[in-house]
Amino acid sequence: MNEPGATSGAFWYLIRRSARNRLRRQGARLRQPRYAAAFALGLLYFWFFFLRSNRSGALGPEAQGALLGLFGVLVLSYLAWSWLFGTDRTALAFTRAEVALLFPAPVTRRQLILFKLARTQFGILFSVVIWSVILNRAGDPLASLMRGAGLWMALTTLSLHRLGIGLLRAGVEEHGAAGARRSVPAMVVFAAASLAVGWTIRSHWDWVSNAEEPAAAIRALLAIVDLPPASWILYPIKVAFQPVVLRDVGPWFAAAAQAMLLLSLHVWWVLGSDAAFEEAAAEASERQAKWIAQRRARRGGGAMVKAGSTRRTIPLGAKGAPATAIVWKNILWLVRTNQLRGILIPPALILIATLVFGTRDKMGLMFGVVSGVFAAMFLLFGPATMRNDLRSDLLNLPMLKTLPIPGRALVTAQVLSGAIAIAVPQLLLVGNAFVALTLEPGASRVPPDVMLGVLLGSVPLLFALNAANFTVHNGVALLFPAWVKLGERGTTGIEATGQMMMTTLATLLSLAVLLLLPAITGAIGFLIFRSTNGTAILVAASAAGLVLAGETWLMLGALGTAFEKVEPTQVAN
Amino acid sequence: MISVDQLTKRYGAFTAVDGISFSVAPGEVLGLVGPNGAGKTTTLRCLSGIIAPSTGRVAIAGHDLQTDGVKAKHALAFIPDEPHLFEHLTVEEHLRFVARIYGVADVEERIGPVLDELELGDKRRSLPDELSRGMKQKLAIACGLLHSPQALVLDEPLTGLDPSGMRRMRATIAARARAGTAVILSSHLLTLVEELCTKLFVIRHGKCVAYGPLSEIVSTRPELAGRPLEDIFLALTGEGEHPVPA
Repeated sequence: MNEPGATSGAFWYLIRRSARNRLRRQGARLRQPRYAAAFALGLLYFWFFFLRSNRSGALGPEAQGALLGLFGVLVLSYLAWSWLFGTDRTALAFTRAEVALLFPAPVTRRQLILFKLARTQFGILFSVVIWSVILNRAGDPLASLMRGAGLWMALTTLSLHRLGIGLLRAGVEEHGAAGARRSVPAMVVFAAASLAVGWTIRSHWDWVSNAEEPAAAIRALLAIVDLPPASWILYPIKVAFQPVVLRDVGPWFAAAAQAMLLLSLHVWWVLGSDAAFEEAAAEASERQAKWIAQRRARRGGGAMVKAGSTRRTIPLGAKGAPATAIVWKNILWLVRTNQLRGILIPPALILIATLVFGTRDKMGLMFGVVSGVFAAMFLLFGPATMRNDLRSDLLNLPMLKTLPIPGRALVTAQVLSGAIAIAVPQLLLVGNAFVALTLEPGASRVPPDVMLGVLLGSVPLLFALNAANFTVHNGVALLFPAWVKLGERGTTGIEATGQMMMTTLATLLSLAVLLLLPAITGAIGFLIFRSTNGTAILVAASAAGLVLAGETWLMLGALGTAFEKVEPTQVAN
Repeated sequence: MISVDQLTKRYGAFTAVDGISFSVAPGEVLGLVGPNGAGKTTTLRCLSGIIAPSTGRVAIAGHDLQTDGVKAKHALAFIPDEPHLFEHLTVEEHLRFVARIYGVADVEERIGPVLDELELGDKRRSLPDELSRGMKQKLAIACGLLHSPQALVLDEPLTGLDPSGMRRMRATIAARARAGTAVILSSHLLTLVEELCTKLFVIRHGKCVAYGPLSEIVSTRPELAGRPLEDIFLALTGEGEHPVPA
């Protein structure tokens, strides 16, 4: 075994160099204009929304108490859940590289735990800095320092407690029944504590139920948890979080001393553990790696395939246009990630509401408008949430490039994958609007020819708008792959926010330019047939849709050529 | 069947592949070998249409890859060293996807034998995430073989396979070649190259250092006669100049 000093030196080297290399890599990327611009835009965004305001951050005594009560209940619920059900196993997680290199290395378990604690501190300190800056709107450096130190103590204690639970549960698995017996007292204590808090709340529940407004109900709930025995049970949690909210120097120091004592007890508890946690930690590490992949997928607009989802499929014949296979593959992805079901829920709910309440006065009109608003929302936000197209598939570019499909056909198939999927709920909503307006009784009823014009005209217009919208999104991904989050891959943090803002602006601008000619054509069509409202709407919508479809077709041709020329090295972020 | 004429690929000032030419007739197996960074993968990527050559011409089954890419790719299968699979398609669905793309009308009759050939029969409904590295490689190979390509390009095809899988794969490549497929095989496993390849293309720094049947290559370097392929490879690529640590 190595000397303790040599091991801790190696660990410190690993932490230090990892942090330095990460910062250097991010700094080097900022030399590229696209990342620098995205970073600047992201900073501007954070400054505008979080730092610009000059409101005072000081809390009154009542608010401090309320906040502590809230912290107390939330943290106790979380800890009780962790103790009783052991779901918080990620506390033991190391990275895959750490498991591969450090676990077989000649280091003690205690050294591994110390390394884990040291590495966790980076995340905690980063959170402390960010929150101290965000919360320090009054610009008081002393208050900021006190809040920062308080946050550090609270978060470190919480982190140690999570780690302690993880180690204890690993020990249970190691020692079997004997281990389980050892953890029983702790579990009983937490179960009893949770029951006592629950009993306190239940005994005074009338305070909450008699409250006249939600804010009063919350105040009543917080007042209840300030009563014994709940207040005794929540005391340690209050001790941990008190320095976060206190502003006066004297009371803050007294609270900080108690919080430090609590933190020290946790250090003693965790470092005293003799659990063989390696196997549990390796499992937790794998779980965490998957969780990170899922989180990134969601952030990138992607989604993970659900277990057992292969039962649902769509048949695909061997004959027909080859590019159809791309649409099939992409739609199947929506099915297996439950995204298709997700986008069908709003129209289904609105339809039910329409059928139940639509015959009441003005309700049909309201549901008609709501359906139209939702259809428009799908149009605007659909491509941002549904990325079953090139924005995911560009990561498979080497494979796509080997397929015997012309570039235009391939890009068109990718665009149609999203456009068709979004059109389904939109058409349901349009149909629902028609039903709702038909159900509307009396004078509020919209003339039938107008309803028919909107219903028929919206079909070509929505298809063309969807296709154009998805074409622009796919075009941005294809022409500027480094600016768009592709699948799970991409930048994070401030740069990611800036990139998202830039691509949104570019997309909106492109769409505005694209819509100019169709809007003029539609207006001319409407003016020519303005004497008959329904026909005018139908002609205007159809003409605009046709022109927009033509523009989109030209764009798809250009993007097809771009696809044939793009190389995998250009796509790599 | 596969014809490469003066193929060059440049990245800025760096020339990854420098004016190489070769051809592979039906039934031939060309071994593309060279040290790391020699330009093998770049060459294979140019051959499969993933990247465009800076200059030069690649033709598959008589179709120019640049001007008649769809027909050229229709005759080709490229199996990369790292399998690229769709995470939400099952093993069988990958094959159905490929069948539609390549217009394999008798897909129902082909799926079973291909899956059996690659020992994936009991994994039909599995997602790639549920497969081992070797099985993923087998699936990528199955996708490549399903449409019975006239030209087959393989980059380290045995990576991740177990001994039984390796043996089957060697037999599959040999069988495809006997059936008239033109095969290009890139691998660092020189025993595989020696066993299967009818001719060699040795590449170093993007340039051809030897091309032809092994006997012809050796005939130009009499000092290599009777030496194992590893020695010949090291001598041709200059890698043997570095002493091996004791």
